Amino acid sequence: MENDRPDDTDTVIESARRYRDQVLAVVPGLLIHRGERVIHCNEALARLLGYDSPAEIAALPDVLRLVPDDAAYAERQAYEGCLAGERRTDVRRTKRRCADSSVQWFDQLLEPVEWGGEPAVLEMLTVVRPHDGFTELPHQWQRLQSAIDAMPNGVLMLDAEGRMEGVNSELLRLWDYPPGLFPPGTSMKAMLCYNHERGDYGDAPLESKIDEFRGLLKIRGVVHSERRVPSGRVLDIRAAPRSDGGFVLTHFDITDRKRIEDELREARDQAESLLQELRETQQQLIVQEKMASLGQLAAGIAHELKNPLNFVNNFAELSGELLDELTELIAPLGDQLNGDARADFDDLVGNLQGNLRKIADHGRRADGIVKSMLAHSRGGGGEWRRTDLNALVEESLTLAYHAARAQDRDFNTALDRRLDPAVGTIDIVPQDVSRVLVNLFANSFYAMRKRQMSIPDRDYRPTLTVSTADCKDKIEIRVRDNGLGIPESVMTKLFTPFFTTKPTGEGTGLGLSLSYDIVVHQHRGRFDVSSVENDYTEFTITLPRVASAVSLGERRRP
Amino acid sequence: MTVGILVVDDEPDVEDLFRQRFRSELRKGQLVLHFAKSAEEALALLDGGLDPEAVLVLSDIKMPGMSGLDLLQRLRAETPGVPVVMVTAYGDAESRRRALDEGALDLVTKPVDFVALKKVMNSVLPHTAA
Repeated sequence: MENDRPDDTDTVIESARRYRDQVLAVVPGLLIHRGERVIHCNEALARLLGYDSPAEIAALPDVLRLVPDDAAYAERQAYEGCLAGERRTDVRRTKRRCADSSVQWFDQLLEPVEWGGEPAVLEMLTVVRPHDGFTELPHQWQRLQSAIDAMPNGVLMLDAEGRMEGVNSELLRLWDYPPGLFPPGTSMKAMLCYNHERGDYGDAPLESKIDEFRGLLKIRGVVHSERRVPSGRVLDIRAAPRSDGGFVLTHFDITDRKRIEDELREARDQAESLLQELRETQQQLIVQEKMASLGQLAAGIAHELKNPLNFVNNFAELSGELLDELTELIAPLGDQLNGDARADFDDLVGNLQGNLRKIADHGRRADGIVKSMLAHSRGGGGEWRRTDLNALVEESLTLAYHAARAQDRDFNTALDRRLDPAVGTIDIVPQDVSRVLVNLFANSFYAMRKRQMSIPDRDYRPTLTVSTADCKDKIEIRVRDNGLGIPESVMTKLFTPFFTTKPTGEGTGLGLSLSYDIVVHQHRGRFDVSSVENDYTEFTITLPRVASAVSLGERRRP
Repeated sequence: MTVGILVVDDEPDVEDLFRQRFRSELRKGQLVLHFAKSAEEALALLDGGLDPEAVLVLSDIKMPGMSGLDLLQRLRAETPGVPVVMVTAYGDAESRRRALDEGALDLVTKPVDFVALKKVMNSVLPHTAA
């Protein structure tokens, strides 16, 4: 047995060492630190992490050297919380970097302590042990994890204290979180803080976001909220409370739905505006058709009237001549008449001649009307020609102004020409367009003269503004005056043939209807008017630069 | 010398109008006016022989039945020596071109400017010049 002694000693030492190892293996690693500085480390920790002595750990420049990079963020958050006095009762599962750079999982307990009169963090790390409870738990967790990973929605589970218990891979994808960034146990606050630092919330302060999140969880029941994440995706987040006070947050990616909704909305808006346009066009067409048929009717009537009127005029003229011949013929007889009879004779002849003159005058007037009416069915004359529009406007303005001045010497107006040189030349029937312009100018002069006479206002300055503008494939002519303006009631009848506000004999009521016909039917343009009574009237003519085939081919025959 | 002129128009009053307008020429016996109410009647009259013979035809264009332009064509073919002047309510370039293309001497528009018409007639009928 004696021989066995040394062996026994060895055995004892060996068993003591094994015992120590076993003890050390179960003794948790202890680490006390404040900020970056490691204050104390026990031998167990050094062993657990593969360091030769606690001194090596104490000499590390930063306690986070022990933490793998991907877990550093969550770890720092946890340390800061603990240093601030935050106490937690549960065990965090976390990983550590060993001396040989391998990564090892530990169960961690954090405890705020006082060390040297100042707060410090007491960290206790134990190896995740493969005993029954532990082997069963991760297995269940793995099953749960694979189940939630299989879900198409992002899932985040929160415990009653607002700490993340688990997330699925879809959530990481939606939020663009690297895997392992937030180990279970990370507080929601830390995650929000990360989002904030990342710039997810723009300029909004972190506190407001945390409050907002807390507010969301205060509501007992399923809560919906919608948000846009940095990847540009739109999430519908639902918070469903659990019976233990925790929450399950599900994140639905509704980006595609949103996009489709937006597209649908856009399509609907487009369809609506198109419908509106269509309605306007239809309205325009109705007006055009009405004007066209009225114009045709006027022209038709004019044709029927023209021949009889010719006879009236011809015979009136002839009768005048015949009467002259008759008086000449019976002049010698007249000398035989006594005084009274002679006076009656002269009176009768005078009346007859007067009446014939009147017939001829009114016949000429009617002839003028008939001619304007016939113009509606433009049998021709006008040739389509490439025309310098500004020159045409200038020429028409001069023409109209001289005509107005010839009628009324006292009339004066300021003429404001704003002609855009970019307008250049366009395809039109210059004669007809000139006619429209002269007509518009004449109307303006008339309206301004009337206003001038109705209110003897010294400050009133008649002003006619005519402007042209280049609108790519179209050109625009605006004629604006500050005359009487057009009352609402008149506006609707403005282009109706024979509608006039002028006293009988002064206007035929065909000027604007003819102008409309020329602009809209002949030139395929637009004729718009806006006016405020006693303020202004503005006519806008829009003409296509190039004559369409329809306009060129269109010549309504009488 | 007396010359004859044939006036073709469906309006009956045209006859009175022309007779009164040309009353002095008619009175002096320089002119004899023949009237036809349609192109067909005009052709019949010309066929039957007029006294005095028509040296000028004035024709309306728009008439029931045969039109003035059709008449013009026939006359150009049958009596190329007799000038034809068309009278129309429509003095547009198109009508003028068509009438002249068909061989009309001229085209006067209604209401007939008799001064202008007389000028045209005088150019064809130098003997009637007063």
